[in-house]
Amino acid sequence: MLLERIRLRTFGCFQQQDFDLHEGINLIFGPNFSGKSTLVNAIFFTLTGKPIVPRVDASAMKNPKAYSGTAGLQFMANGERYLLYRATGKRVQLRSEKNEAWQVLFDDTRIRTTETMLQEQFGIMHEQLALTTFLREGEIFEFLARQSATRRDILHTLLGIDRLIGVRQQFIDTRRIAKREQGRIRAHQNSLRYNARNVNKAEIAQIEAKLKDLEAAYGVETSDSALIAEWVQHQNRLQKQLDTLTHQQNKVLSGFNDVDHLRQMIATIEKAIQDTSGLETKRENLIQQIGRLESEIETLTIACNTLRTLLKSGEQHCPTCYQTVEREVIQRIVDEKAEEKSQRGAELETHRQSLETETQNLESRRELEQRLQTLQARLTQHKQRTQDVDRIKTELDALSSRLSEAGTQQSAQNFSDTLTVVDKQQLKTQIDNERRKLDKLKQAEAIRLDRLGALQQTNRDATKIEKTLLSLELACSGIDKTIEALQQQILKPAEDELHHWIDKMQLFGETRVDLQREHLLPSLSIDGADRSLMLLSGSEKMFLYLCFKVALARVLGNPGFFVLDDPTLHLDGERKTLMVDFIRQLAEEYQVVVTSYDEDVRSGLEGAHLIEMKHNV
Amino acid sequence: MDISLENETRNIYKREIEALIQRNEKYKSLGPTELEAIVRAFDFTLKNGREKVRTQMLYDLIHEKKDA
Repeated sequence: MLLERIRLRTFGCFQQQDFDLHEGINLIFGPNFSGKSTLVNAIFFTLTGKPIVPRVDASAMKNPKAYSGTAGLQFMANGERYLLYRATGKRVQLRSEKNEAWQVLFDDTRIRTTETMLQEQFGIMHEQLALTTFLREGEIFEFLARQSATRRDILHTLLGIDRLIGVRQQFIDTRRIAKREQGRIRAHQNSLRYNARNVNKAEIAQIEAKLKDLEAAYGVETSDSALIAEWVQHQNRLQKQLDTLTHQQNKVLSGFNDVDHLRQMIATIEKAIQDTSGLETKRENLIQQIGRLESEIETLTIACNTLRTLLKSGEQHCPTCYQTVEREVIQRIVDEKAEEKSQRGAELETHRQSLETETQNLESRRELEQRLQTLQARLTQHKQRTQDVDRIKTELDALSSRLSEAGTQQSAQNFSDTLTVVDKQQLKTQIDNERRKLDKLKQAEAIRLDRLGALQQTNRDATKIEKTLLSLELACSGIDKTIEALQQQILKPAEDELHHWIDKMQLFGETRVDLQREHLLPSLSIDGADRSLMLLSGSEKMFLYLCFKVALARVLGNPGFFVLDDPTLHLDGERKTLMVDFIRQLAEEYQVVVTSYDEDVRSGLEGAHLIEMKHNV
Repeated sequence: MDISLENETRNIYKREIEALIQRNEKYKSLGPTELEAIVRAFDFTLKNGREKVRTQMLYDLIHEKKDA
């Protein structure tokens, strides 16, 4: 990839400006606050969407007065010219030049899609670009400061092997704890296994079978004998009831041949009663007639007596009506009245006799009515008894047939008698004992099942912890292999490349860096003498770092250019010259973009493409 | 460690783990889920450092389901 132009639109301190870049060295030269680092940021931002300095927010790179800033980069890649624009508002557009016209290839705002496109199209990855292509302002200084604090192996730190060892140690610690946990789980497992095996299932089955037999035996004996005995008892009870009922029935029919005779008698009495239906009226009439006759007789008697008294008194006039008394007429009237009285008396006597007869008849009828009621009640009783007798007889018949089926009544009676209470009790006690034993065993079985559940859970835990241990073992082995792979895949080529650059830069004379020494603790041999890398000076470490960065860029992949932001910061004159020399060497193979405010660098890089920045651009 | 190297290391690590599973019979019981869990645990520890990572975290990471 060859960078050709940086195009800025309301980006940072630039409103609208393009900066051309050439092959070889491009020196962006200017004082502080002239926008040098903004150009470096613009390149990095266009390619990755992020600022090279992680602490800077991408949105802060836009012009403060603009809604969104845009940085663009024109470059050649794979023989074609491209123009990549990226706005701080996340929109990315890629154009390619076809027949001297720009054609849009990609236009999207999705970060992941954009990253994928850039990686696939140009192999650009943010992190790799940051490590291998850009030397941000103060990076070396930061690195040296960090090293001075830790004094750890440079390469070790660069490759992050120490962190890998740290991760491995963490895995080992975790594995140790997991191993302890596994021991605990196994102990628990064994304890549960012992408990779970402690109950004999066969014993439960045996007792259950035994109990079943006992219960069956008890059930058969008690049910049949008791039932037959009960039937017999019931039969006896019914027979007694039947006898009583028959006796009562006979008692009800006492005085009669049979029930028909009773019914006949009832019918006769009913007819007789019916025949005397007008008896009360007739008697009432007789009583009234007697009363009337007695009244008439009394009147006649009084009249006769009054007239006789008048006749005897010799009075000429009647004391009541003062009429003249005619004695013959009065005597005749007296006689007539006496005659009438006598007739009425005879009539009264007849009536009285009739009344007496009728009264007797009425009493007879009442007696008949009472008798009828009694007989009807007896007939009702008889009917009821007959029904009861029939019911009992039916029941008795059924019982008899059931008893016949079960054997004979006699033998059932005998069986019931022979089933002794003692046998039953013994059987019952035996069953109770077995049941208690079974309950205990079942309780133990429930506990066992509970423990079995716990055991299953523990087994699962054991499997899990086993898998954890295996995973951690694999994780540790993986780290060892990774360290080896890093050494083989990266470190060895990097070491070769590093030596190429050390030789090229003529650093450290005959120095050789053994990057693969155990745990990557390299030593340097300067002038034939072993010397620990830790004993290197800051500048020596700086150049070693730069060489190693280039070496890594070669191994990990580099887009074809380097961007060094103010690389001579804090360097003395001699080191500045070395740095300029290093940049020149680098420019033989790569396009290099350097920013600086140092006149020594400007003069040292004479002939480079100069982009001169002015204060407050 | 630079991020790119971290990524490269992660890729190497994943490749090595896969190779170990393939090569070694005793790791055959570990499937893709476990592989991912191991890489996740590795990543987590690498990013956060030993000081911030506890055993329980790793244990949970190893047993964490992919979709959890």
